[in-house]
Amino acid sequence: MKVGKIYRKKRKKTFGEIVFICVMLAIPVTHFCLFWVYINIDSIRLSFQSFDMNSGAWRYVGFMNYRTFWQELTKAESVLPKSILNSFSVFLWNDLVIVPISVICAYVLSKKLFFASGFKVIFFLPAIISVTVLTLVFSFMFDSTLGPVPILLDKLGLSSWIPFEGFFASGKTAWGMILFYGLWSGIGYDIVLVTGAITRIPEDIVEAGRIDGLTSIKEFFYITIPMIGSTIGTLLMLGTTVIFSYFLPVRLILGGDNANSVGAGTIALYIVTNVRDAGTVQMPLGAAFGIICAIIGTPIVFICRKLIDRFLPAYEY
Amino acid sequence: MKKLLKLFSVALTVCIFALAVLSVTGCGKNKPSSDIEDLYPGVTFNEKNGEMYKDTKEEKTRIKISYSTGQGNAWIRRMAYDFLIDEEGADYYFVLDGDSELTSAVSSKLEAGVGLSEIYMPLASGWNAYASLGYLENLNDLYSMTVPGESVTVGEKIRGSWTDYGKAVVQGSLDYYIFPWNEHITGIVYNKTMFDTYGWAIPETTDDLLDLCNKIVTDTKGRIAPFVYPGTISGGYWDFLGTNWWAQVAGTERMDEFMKFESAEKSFSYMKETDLSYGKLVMLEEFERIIVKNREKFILKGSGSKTHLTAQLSFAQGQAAMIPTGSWVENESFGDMEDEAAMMPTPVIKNETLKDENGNYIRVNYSGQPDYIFIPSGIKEEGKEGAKKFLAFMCKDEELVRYTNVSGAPRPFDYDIGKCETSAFIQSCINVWKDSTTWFEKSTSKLWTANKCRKFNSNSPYTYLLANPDTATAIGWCANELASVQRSWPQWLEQVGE
Repeated sequence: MKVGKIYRKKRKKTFGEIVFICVMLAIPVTHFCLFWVYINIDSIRLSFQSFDMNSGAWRYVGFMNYRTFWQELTKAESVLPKSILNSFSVFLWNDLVIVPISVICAYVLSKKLFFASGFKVIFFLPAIISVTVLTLVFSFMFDSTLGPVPILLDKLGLSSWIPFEGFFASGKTAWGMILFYGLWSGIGYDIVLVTGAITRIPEDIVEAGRIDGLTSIKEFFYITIPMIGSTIGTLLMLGTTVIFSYFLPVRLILGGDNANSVGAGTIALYIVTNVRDAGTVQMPLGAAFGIICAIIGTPIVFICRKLIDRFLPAYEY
Repeated sequence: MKKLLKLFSVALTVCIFALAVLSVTGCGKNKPSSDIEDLYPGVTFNEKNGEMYKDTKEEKTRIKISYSTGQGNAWIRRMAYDFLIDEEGADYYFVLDGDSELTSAVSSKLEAGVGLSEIYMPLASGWNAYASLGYLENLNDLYSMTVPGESVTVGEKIRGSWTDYGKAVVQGSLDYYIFPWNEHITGIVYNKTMFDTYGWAIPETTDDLLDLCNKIVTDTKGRIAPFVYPGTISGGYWDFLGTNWWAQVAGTERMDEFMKFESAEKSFSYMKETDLSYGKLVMLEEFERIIVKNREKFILKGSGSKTHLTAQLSFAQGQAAMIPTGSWVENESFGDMEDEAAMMPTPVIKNETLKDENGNYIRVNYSGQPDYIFIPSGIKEEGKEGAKKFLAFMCKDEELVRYTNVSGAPRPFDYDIGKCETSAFIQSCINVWKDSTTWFEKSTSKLWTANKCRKFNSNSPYTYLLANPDTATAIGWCANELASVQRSWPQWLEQVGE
C-alpha cells in the first residue's frame, strides 16, 4: 500500500512562545557549553601544556605529559598497574555483587515482610550519611584496639584473623575492606531504586502467573528481573563510572600513602594525590591522565551499554 | 518459600541490630574542647556575620579575614579587638570569616577573583603557584615595616626557617609573598601520669629510649604498648622524630643545602659523612634499630590502620605510653583524657660530634610544613594597606604573647614566650620549642615547587620499613631512593622546563 506524504502547514510560533523556548533552553545550553564543551576543550589544550613557576606562564610541550604518564605507568616501583586493576575490580564488584544482592534484597523486602519499611530506611541510611562520617564509623568498627569487630573476634578465639597492622594496613586485607565498605554503604541506595521499580510492576501480571502456578523464585526470574531490567541496567551502567572516579572511601579509610603502600590504590586516588594536591603545576598532567582515561573508558561504556540493552531490554507497561 | 522469607527477615533483623550496636559502640566518647569565651568591651561584635567594629563601620575600610578554624575562633577575635581599640585600627572594621574548608577552597577563590577577603589564613599547603600566577600581593613592604611601638622591623623579628620561607621567584625576582602564622611543635607526647606512677625517666638519648620501651613492656607485662601511631597518615607521624634526628645529625644548614636539589647525586647520596643524605640514613637506621626491629613488642597492635584520631584516642585511653605527634593534639583529643600528658624533647642520637661548643646536644624542632597568611593582589589598595597594618600589629610583643595564651601555639617571632600562661601540656611543648631550632622543608628549586622532588621520594620510608620488617632495610631504602631519583631526574627537569 502506498502511503502518500501528508503536508501539514507549520504554525508560526508567536514571539512569546519563542521567548519561552529560548529562556527554558538557555540554562541547559549554557550549562552544556560551560561544563562540557569548554571544560573538555580546555582539558585537551591543557594536556599539551606545562606551567612555568618563575614566569607564571603556560608553554606548549607537545606530548610530554602523555610521555610522563607512560613513564609513571612503566617505572619499576609504579603503583599505577595495581591501581588500574583495583579500579576495574570496583566496577566488577558493583555489577556482579552489589547490584545482584541489592535486587535480591529489594525483591524480598517487596514481599511485605515484618518490618520491611523499617529495613528500607535502615538500608538507605548509609546513603544519606556523609561519606566522612560513614568512613569514620567504619574505621572505628574495625579498629584493632577500639572497635567492636576485632574485640568480638578476639572473644571468639579468632584473634589470629586480625593482622598485626590492623585490617587497613595489611596487604592481605586492605582492599577487601574497601570492597566490603562499598557493599555496606552502597547497597541501600540500590535497594531503594530497585524497590521503586518493583512496586511499579502491575499486580495483575503476578496474579495471572500465580493462577498458572508461578512460584516466588520463578516470579523473581521471569517477571521481576525482566520488568525492572531498565532500572538494573541503569545501576549496572553507573558501575562503569566508578572505574575512573572511585577514591574518596580509599583516601578516608586507608589514607593516600598507606593505600598505595598496601596495594589498595585506585586510578582516581593516584590522580588526586599526585595531581590535584600539588595544585596548578600538575594540572596539565592531570588533564593528560583524564584524556587517556576517557579514551579507555568510552569503549567500555559503549560495550556495557550494548550488552545491557541486549540482555536487559526496557519494557513499556 | 514463605518460611524461607520469614527466616531471611529474622536473620536480616539480627544482622542490622548487631551492626547498629557495633557502630554505636565503635564511636568513643570524645568531645572537642570548646573555644575560649571572650568578651569585647567597647566594640560591637556580631557573631553570626563576624562583623566587629568600634562605634560605627560607616566610612571605615573593611578588613575581611578568612581563616582556617583549626585553632578555634577566640584568638582572631581577640587580635581584631585589640587592633580596633588601638589607635592603629581607628579607620577599620573587621569581618571574621572562619572556614574549615578554606585550605582546599582558596585556590578556586583566587582563580575566581571576586568577593576576595583582605587576608587569608590557610593551613599548610602549596602556595608558590599562586604567587607565580600573580594572585598574591608582594609583601616586601610588610616585612620592612616597623612593628608598632617597637624599634625593630617585622622581618627582623621573624625567626628560624620562616626568615626566607615566604619568598618566591616570580618573573625572575625573589620577593616575599606569604607571612608567618603559627608554628607547630612536634615530637613524642607521653602519658605523664603513667610515667610518674611507674617511675619511668624521660629518655635523653635514643639508647635511653630503647631501654625505656623495654622497661614499659616489662613493667606493664605487655599490657601497655610503648608507642601507638596513626598508620593511615602519611609516614605515620614518625617523621616528627625522624626529621628531628636527621636535622640533629646534619644540622639545619646542611638540611637547607639538601633542599636545594641541585642534582640527584648531590642531594641523595648517603654513604659518606659529607653526603647530604647521610643524616637521613643515620636517622632511618636509628628508627630501624629502635622501632622496626621491635615493632611487635613496642607498637600497639593495629596502629598501622589507625587514623590520627583513633591513635590519639588509644593514647588518651592509656593503651600506649607514647605517641609521635604535635602540640595540636591537646585540642583534638585530650578533652576527656583523665591522665596528664606532656611533650618530651626528642631523644638525641648519642654521639659526641653532635654537640655544640657548650657541650650540649643540638636540638631541632621539625614543625612540618607551616600554616601561612597572605593578602590577595586583586583587592582595593586601602584594603591591602589595612591588612598589612593589622599583620604588623599582630607582631607586637604583647599581641604575640596574647596569641599564644589564647590559641596555645607559638608564632615564629622573637618574643618572651615565658610570659605566656597556657595549660601544662602546652607549656611542656613550649619548653621543647624554646630549647630548639625550628626547621621545616623550604626550597626555591623548581623541582620542589613543582612537586617533583620531595624530602623522601617514591614512598614513606617509615611505613615501608614497618610494613616489610624482614626484607627492607634503611640502607636498602636509601639506595632505592637514590636510584629512583637518578632515573627520574632528567624527566623532572624536562617537565619543569630546565
